[in-house]
Amino acid sequence: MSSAFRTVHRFREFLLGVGVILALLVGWFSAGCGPGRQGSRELAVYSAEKEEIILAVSEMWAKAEPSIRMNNIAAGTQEIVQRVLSEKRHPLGDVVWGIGAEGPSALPQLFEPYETQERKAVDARWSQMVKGEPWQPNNIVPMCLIYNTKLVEAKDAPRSWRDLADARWKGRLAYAAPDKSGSAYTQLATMVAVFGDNGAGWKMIGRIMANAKILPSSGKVPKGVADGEYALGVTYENVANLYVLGKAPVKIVYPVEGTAILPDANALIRGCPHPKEARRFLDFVQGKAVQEMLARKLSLRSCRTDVSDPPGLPPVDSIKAAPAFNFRWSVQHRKEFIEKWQELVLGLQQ
Amino acid sequence: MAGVGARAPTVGRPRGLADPWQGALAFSYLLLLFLIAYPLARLLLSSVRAEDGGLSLAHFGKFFAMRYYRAAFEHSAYVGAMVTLLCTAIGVPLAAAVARWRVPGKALLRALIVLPLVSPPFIGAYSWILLLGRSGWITHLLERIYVALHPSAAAAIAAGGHVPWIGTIYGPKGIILALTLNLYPFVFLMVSASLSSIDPALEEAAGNLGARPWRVFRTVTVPLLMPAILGGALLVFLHTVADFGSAMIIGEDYLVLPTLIYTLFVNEMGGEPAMAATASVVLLAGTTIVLLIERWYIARRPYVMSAVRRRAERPVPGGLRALATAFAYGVVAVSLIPAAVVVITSFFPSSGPILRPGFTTQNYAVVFESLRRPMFNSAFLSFISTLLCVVLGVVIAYLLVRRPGKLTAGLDGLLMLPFAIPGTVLAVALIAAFGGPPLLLTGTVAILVVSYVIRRLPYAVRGVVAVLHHIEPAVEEASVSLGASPWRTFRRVTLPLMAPGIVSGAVMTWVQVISEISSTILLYYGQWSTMSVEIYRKVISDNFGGAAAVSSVLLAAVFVPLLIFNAWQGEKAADLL
Repeated sequence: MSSAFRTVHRFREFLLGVGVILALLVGWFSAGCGPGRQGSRELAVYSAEKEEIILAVSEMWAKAEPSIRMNNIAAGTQEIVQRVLSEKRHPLGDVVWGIGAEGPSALPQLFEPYETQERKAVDARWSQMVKGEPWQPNNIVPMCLIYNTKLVEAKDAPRSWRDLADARWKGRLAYAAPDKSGSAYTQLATMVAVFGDNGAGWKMIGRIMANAKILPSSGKVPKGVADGEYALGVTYENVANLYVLGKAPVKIVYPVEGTAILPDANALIRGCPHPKEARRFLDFVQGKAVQEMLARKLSLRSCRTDVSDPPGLPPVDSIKAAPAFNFRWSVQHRKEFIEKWQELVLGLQQ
Repeated sequence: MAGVGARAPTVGRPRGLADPWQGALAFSYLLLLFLIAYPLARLLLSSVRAEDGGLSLAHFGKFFAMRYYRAAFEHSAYVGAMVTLLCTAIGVPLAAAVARWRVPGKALLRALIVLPLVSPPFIGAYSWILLLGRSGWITHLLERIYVALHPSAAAAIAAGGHVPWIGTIYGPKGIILALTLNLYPFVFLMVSASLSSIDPALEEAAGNLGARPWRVFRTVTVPLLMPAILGGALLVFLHTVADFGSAMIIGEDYLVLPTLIYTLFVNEMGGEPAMAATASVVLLAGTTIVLLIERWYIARRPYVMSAVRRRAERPVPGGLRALATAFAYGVVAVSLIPAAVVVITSFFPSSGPILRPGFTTQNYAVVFESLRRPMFNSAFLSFISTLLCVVLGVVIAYLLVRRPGKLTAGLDGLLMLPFAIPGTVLAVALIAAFGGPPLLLTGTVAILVVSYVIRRLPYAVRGVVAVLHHIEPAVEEASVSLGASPWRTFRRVTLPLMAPGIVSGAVMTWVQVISEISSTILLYYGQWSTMSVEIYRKVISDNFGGAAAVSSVLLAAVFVPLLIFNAWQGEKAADLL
């Protein structure tokens, strides 16, 4: 049995070692944290914004409202909406910030309508769009195409939605699944608006889908194109522009037929634990200081009339909007368009 | 075979006295029913609920009628079978080579082998795309070689054609590659723990009776290892069919059940909870059948023996040793490619989402500032969860092996339920169940611990079960008949003998907890962000340099303690791991 006894001693030594390591960890950690601020106010922000945007705005918030501690939960729009949905019995979040507008529009019961202090400064084009919606506009995002300049020469680059149907893009076009991603759904609705909700229109969409690789999330499209995994993709401007700014071999194309130009959304969560702080935050992020900083430093288009377009991007008025596209129409027809799209894609696979 | 008995192994039950393990059984049942069955039942009942509120199997009819759903089921079965076969084919010989033959640098090797299990979210599979994708480093190299050999193909390749040698990494091939090299350590860990608890007398006896070494291995060692091999294979299979990350990244449009469930459930605009629940029930039924087959097979042959003596390494001919060494290091080298790619790219200068070859530490400078709290959180949560898993795992494993019966079989099934549900969906079930009466856990750290414990408990249980099969009840009976109480017997006799299994189970649990992301992302709250959440945040923010840096820190945080532990245990006494 001697080896069994050796084992038990070694096992005790092991547990002792683990205990010591844990004690060291706790010591190291508590040395780094000051005493908790008792009685300070809190705010839970669920956000799909990029990390650098959250950091920059957090800093401004800490200066503007030092007594309200902001806790950030950052994830994709899918996870954010899922969190709010599953927590509806006992909401833990106060606001959603910078998520796709398709979510709050499709699930209005989760959010509480709120008119911000800044609404007068919001461009009428966007305040009209959100009338009766439970969310407020944040940054303005045009849908666009992106192509890899190493794989596609400028003269061959697509210029329109129609160009995506060209057979030479077979297997080289990246598109996120519209039944999973809100932005991809908006792109699908844009194509429906451009080609018409009829036999010929859906036939054209079918030809585009025959070329496409369907990816499970919208973020994979610009990354895949920048990495050269796909020659071109359907995406949206602010994420595509990150790759342009990072000097990736990509170019943005605004389709000549016109495209959807939409704000992303901020909203108050219904039954949230800190409604007062939440409303203050919604005013703050739509305010001039934050919007101007985001436009200047992080190239995000503002929804306000008094903030100019970010440097390096074409003025929003120079981008053609798809005439037949309408946000409310696209939300109302979601189920129907998605089912048509699924049939189309299944038919292609068989 | 000496000491291999067929009698029902019920140890530690003094005649006429209540069995203390009955209480443990009742407690385990109540705990698992409340923490696993209750939330899942709430969620999955919608699969049999008709629109009018009655019961209906219509959703299942739709599931098997539509090719879209059925294909996901078939894909999952195919990928699960392939990965399980390959992991077993790699893990068993590797364990035999490392445990039995004097392979140099064993402490380092054992720590390196565990490392692939820490697959930092989304990063591991990305590495394969970086290497073998349509624009991968290796793909480009192969393309250049191919064009040199076949100049006529140059135009086709330039237009996006594939080199016929490898085809595309996307789809089942990529999922199988990534998961095999990610999961074979499960088989390795369980088989090596089991190897070190085999009584050498059995093999020696076979040798003395004239059997050649290969025959001894085949007819004595392998049958004794069966519980461990099957246990490891089961973990690999369950992990594979429930895997979501790899399929999401390299699956492209190859849909498997977890990606189907996820997209039916987690959706920006609501989703289809009833079909998601239906798909989950199908996955659950499939895994339960596999689990039952494994139990049935093991129950047919009890493999107990009095393994109180540990084996020494045997000297082997130099040629074999060199071969074993080359094999072990070769496997480890290939499986560490994703980790290596992550570490290398973490030193690349980045501008926004774009990484360029070069050397810089800027990615680290940025992350260290903000990582103190997430590092503490990861260490703290994984420690607490592993501890709970091990304590519960030992108790449940003991019940499963020493009190076999219908009741304990039910416990085993219950335990495996969370395996068949993607983490995100399980998180949704937990929020729904514990986001209000009867017990409010959301918004506290307890819900994270609960989710880790129920999802990772199977690893701890399987680790201990495999070893417990080797311990003959007679050893415990002797202790009891010498007057020791059942508890004292358990503590002083059974527990030390189980140590190798406990440690291998604890390592598997710990490594899996520290890199968990899919449920954490829905459950973490306030300041309780973990390292894996930080990696995920950086990935979705297109900050790949930062994500690679945090992933490298996480890899180091797993590797260094394992290395220290192995080195401190010494080369000879490596039987604890």
